[in-house]
Amino acid sequence: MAKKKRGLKEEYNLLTRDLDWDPTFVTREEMYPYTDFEGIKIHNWNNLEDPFRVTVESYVRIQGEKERKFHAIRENIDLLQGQLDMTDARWLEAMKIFSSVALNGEYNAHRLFQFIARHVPSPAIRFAAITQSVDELRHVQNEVLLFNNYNKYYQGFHDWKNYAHRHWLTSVVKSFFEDAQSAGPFEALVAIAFGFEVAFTNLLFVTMGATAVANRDQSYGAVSFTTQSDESRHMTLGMMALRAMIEEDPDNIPIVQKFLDKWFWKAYRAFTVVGYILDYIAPKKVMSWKEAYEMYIEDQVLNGLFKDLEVYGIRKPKYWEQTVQEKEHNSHIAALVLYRLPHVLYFHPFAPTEEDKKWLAEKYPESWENIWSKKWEAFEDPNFDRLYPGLPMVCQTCQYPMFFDEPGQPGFNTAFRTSEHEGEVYHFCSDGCKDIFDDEPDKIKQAWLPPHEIFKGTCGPAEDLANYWGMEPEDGGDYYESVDHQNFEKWKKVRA
Amino acid sequence: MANYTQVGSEAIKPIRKTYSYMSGLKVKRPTTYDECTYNLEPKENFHYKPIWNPELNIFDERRTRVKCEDWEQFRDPSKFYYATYCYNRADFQSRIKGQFEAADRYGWFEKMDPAFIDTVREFLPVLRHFVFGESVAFMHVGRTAVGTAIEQCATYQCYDELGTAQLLTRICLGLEEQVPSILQDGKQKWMEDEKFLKLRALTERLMVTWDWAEALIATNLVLDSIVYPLFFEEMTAVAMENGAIGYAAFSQFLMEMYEYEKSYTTALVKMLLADRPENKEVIQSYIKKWLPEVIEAAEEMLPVFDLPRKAIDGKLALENVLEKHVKPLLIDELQIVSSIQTRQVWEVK
Amino acid sequence: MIFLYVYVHGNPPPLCLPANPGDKWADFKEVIRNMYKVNPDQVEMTHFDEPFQPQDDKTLAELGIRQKSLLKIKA
Repeated sequence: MAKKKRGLKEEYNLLTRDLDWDPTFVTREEMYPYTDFEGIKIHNWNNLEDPFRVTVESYVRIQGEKERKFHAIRENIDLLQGQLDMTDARWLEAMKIFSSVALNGEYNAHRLFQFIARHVPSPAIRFAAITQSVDELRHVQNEVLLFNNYNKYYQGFHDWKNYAHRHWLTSVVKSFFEDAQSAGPFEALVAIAFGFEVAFTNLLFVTMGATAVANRDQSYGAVSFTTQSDESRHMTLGMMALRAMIEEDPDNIPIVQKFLDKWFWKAYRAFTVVGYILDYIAPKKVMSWKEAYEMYIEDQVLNGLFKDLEVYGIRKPKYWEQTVQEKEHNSHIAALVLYRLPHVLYFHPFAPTEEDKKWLAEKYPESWENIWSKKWEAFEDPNFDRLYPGLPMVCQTCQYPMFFDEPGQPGFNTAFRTSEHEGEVYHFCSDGCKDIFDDEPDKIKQAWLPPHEIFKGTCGPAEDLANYWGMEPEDGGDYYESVDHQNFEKWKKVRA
Repeated sequence: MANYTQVGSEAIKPIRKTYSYMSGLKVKRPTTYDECTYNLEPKENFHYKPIWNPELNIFDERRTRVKCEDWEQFRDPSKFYYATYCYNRADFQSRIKGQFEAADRYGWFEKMDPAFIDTVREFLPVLRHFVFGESVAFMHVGRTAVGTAIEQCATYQCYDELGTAQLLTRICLGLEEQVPSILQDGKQKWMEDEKFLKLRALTERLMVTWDWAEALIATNLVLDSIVYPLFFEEMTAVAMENGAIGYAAFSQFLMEMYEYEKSYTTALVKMLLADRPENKEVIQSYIKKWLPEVIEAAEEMLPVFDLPRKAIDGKLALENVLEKHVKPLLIDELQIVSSIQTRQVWEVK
Repeated sequence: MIFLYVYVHGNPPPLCLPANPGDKWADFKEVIRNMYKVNPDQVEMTHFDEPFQPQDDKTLAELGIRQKSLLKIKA
């Protein structure tokens, strides 16, 4: 049949943007009530193009194939006790942290991209966004099923939902995604599609994925591999949306810059725990946080992506210098502080082994010997009171415990910043977090800060807190004294 | 017991089968569908109110007038989760592809009766916009519906509607040789033709219906339960009479999409009616608001039934739709409506 | 009830503690002694960054301590 000659691009347009029309029975404001309030000006929504050109037909075919492979692997691992192939069950501490924050993150992203698809009136963004929403549902479901493989044999997975929404530490990530969920559609796009996906997800799925593979954890290896195959589409959406905003109107530049400053900093802070995973938890280590930061953030984002954006008048995100300085230190601070909290965590912290320490000394020649090894020596002293005696003060914005150092003064020289708003004082771990508050005090002041809520009684009686958090007694405690460690050693022998 | 391996004398026994919070789901043994559906939606300790709607939480049951004790108990009768949805729809797309190949091989489009081509060009390209509008409405339903089990169905439906809009576009492209401007004309008809103005008005109103349950019920129990059977069952019968197999061959795909929407929506409405009596009045108010208008919109479109060589009375077609689809669903099965009437009571019976 | 924060230099993170503004310093300082194993009478303190020299018989409120006050201690 002699069909009309038509390029792929033109055909794709007929399958997508040509379906749209300008309403006449309702006003544009009724149809798109949230499009204008952020101040982003888009003059021609049709200028934007979806570079992926995914149709529903091609999507379900490709994804169906990927799903068959993934679920075959998942079921096999379960059947063959694949968890016992791991170098050491200590790796699962990383998976416990990941599951308690990532599942909620993916789920929020799934719903958020429906909001973006509905309220950003660009057909190109709409199609990419709704497809991403469906992808995110995929990720959360696959991870829920996959982590159940671990959950059957180990502690710390069985109530990820309560860990995610009630535990004092996970509020870092919960508040990150809820900040995006409660933002306007353009900020939400920059927050997740750019700040999170473009700038930081490589650390999560590439670096952590490689580390999982090195530790013979086929489960996370499989999930990160298959997830990353969707992320590349999401990153393209992030770049497309960002370019569109900055190219359409010069008035958009300062707004976009503010979004970038905020979300780069928020994502950077939220990822602190990944440093702990790479440098400490991983029994076999592949890449240090410092190396990963240099490769993925400094080279690719700060000196790559932001370099390309310079021509538009976009500069590097505020406080990027501080993030570069901190790459020497923050994983150690997190590990040291978490070491003191085994009684209030649903995973098992621990002190680094001699082997770990050797590696850390090699990877951190500048800071290990002089600063952090000494802190560990003090903490491991038998006379040292290991258990932290109460609930930590947390930053109003990022909600990490206030443990980050004053820039340029590493070694437990905790930084403090404050702001006054409506007669009340608010505390921050950094200038980055303070600026975010100062820009939107009426939003950030609402934060559900776990230590405050606990004392207010929101979380039930103090003696019942572990139960409120969804924890069983065996969830906490030091890794080397845990049932998980004992069972792994025992089962491994049985299987051998 | 897939997860039980006996090695030597000692067993490596799982210490639990599933997540502890699964005990909240009232099923005997959770399936894979249950595990990856139940309880994913955040429901407490929200940090910030949305700046675009500060009266409500990020996830909030108050975004609809219907109420439910425990939304999480809803189960999709098709038990679709992402993987099974993709498998099912990939197979669906393969069948569509097969039909297009058959259409090519046997010349179903080229050999279509010219009068029937004139019929199809009158409404089919118009419907691709209608279906797209529903898809946009479902982006909102997906974002705001309560509980993963429900919003998951809405998410798939949203994506299905996009797929349907794309399928309708492809069928039109198949007819492009005979009617080169079929898509452009269709869009113009959607915007200007009086036959479709009422349908477009309802579609636009649907897109700004912010009560998600209203949007869902209006789409799946009212709009689609009339529009889909009208064009993909009644018109399909006409197509067969006119030898237009190229049209009839694709109708089943549209009806399958409608069946999915109908099945989960029926299950949802049944759950809501059983959950509390006040819901009946709310759901009735949705139906009362939408049904007369949708019937009116359908009546406006009936002149397309006059166009084929072997035509039928459009009124009869609509009457068939009401008798075969709408009444059995709303009156008999759900018992939320007592009688349904067309605008003028025709003498067709 | 108010919350206040107590930070001992070199010992992050600070503690978040509930307190009654009507409590006497004499009572509150025992919490510091218990939590940090330091003698609260022999430390250098600041309230935020202002020097802080509390008298035992004054209440927290009288000492200017309010919601989310930060006490920093050099042991």
